[in-house]
Amino acid sequence: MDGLNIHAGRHQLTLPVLVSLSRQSTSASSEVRHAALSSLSRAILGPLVVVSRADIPEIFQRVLYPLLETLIVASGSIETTESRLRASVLLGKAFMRFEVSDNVAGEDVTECWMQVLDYLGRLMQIDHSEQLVRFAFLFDTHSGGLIWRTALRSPRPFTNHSKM
Amino acid sequence: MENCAAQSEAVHESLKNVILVMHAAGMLIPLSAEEHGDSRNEGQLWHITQEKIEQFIPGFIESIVTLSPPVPSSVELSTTPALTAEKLDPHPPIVVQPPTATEADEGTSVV
Repeated sequence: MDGLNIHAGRHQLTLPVLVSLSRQSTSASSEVRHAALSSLSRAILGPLVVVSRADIPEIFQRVLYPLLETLIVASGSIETTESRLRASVLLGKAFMRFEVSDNVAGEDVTECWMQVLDYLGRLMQIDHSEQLVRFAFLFDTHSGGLIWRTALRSPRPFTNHSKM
Repeated sequence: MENCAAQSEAVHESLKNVILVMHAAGMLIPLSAEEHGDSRNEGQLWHITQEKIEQFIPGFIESIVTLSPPVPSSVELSTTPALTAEKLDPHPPIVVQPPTATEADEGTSVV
């Protein structure tokens, strides 16, 4: 088996694990979520997972972007905020590792960089929209009871597939 | 509200770190007014990046990468501990270091 096949085989083994960790990083269980995101960070940023240049887009598209996407649509809470923070740091570090440090050939990073900027921008915009929503709820408490009860009910932070 | 502010600040910090590292690696080179028609890839990337970031944080990229300082031509690899964003001042040479397993889930260090 030549070097290329070994790399491809290794990637086929590690990718499902990374995809699974990415999904568990938005689990309804905080313990599972926390452990999965920590493991995912170690796997992607540490030396254990070696990713060839050709496989890097797949890491972003199947592991990191879906994670960010799920976190962006999740309802806002302290736990969601913490996960968003950690995921945004992971995205930035992964970009620095794969597209800056490891990119010795100087290949074009524009597409990936635009995607990263897009996600970071959306995270910041969620931040502003959540502040506006909260302000609207507070304002309405002076006049209506129903909205007050709705605002008091704490939303589920994550409602995806991996309910424990 | 405090959570939202913390989230926004952390995302800012994360973005700032990436931009500083790209700048140090020579991938993001600021364009002066007369160089705006520059066809080099680094110049184009700067222009696109600036346009994109202006949409959600106006003036952000200019505030962290000034037009005047020279850009190092290559990325320096080092075994020294990673710098934290708080320790960075605007002009030091920026060290790009491959991340290690122990720092993989740390908060806001540079790499």
